[in-house]
Amino acid sequence: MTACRERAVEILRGPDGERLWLALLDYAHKLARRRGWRIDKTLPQGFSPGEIANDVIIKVIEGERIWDEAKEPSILIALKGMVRSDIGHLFDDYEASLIEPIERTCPDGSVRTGDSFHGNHPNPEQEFLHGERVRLEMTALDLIREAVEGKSELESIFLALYESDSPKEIAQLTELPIERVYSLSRELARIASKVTPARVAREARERRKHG
Amino acid sequence: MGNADKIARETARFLDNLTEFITGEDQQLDESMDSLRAQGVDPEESLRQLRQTLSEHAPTWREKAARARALLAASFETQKARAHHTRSEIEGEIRETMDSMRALGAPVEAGAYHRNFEEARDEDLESLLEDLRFQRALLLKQQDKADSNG
Repeated sequence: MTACRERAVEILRGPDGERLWLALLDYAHKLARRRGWRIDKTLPQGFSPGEIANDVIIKVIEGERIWDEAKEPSILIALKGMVRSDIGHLFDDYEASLIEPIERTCPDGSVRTGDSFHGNHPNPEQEFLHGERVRLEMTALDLIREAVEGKSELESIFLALYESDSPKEIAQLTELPIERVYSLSRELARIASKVTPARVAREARERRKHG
Repeated sequence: MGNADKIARETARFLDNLTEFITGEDQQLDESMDSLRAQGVDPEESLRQLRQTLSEHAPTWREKAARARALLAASFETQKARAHHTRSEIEGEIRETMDSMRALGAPVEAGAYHRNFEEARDEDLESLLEDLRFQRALLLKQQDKADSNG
């Protein structure tokens, strides 16, 4: 596995290294934002997206995590997967951690035991957090939909994104040339950059107020 | 699965796909820089961080050699500084330490030390100075304790 490490270092030190690193960092920030992270706050457990990306690079070059070029030729895709996994774990741990004894007397007087748990039903706190997240996600999606309305090419990309994240597949689904898909992805990135978590939260609050 | 669940899943999938799509593999250096700046991140600082990470965790032979050279130079400077710490400077510090110990009320037999100064080697004087500093620290600690007990 030393070869994998050396190859990763060679690429990161090579002419494309800086571009790959900044693309990874940008991805980490966007992904964290996608999960509701606000710029001026740290991620759960005190991490920042930059630290997560840097940590992934360190683990790969020290051999703690393996990038196998034979399995995944693109180092950026491999690193993104690691960042995605780490950020996902942070948020999942944060959102779902609630510790309490299994056996206790409920307010209605009944006694809860291990047998009271069937499968993996969420507890009320988890349900609440899930509901909040869904509400924010739907608001974010609505804001993006409003921004692309009336722009036919972007509208078709918008619909294709329900099916795929791959530019090639989206080109096939929309029958747009791949170069145009790439250029539209940049336009969509600009639109998405304006849909900040703060704006989404504000909009969701307004919507709740007005029913 | 209820309709609400289905919509929630589709929404999440859409946003996941959107995140992947807008951070495609072909993203150019200037695009990432602009995007990071818009998110309040300094790309130049981030590039410095990458260089530092690579230098610390995967140093080239040049970096290893430069680090070894720097360590050697630092060690040489320390040795030189020690060598340039003259005998009279050490003696001066011993006197100052003893004076401050006397001021704290400790019975320091200066004469005994002074008699040995001329015979003692530099290493012995440095060791004596260390010892006196330790004793003075103890005295100060005792005095603090006595003060706080009224």
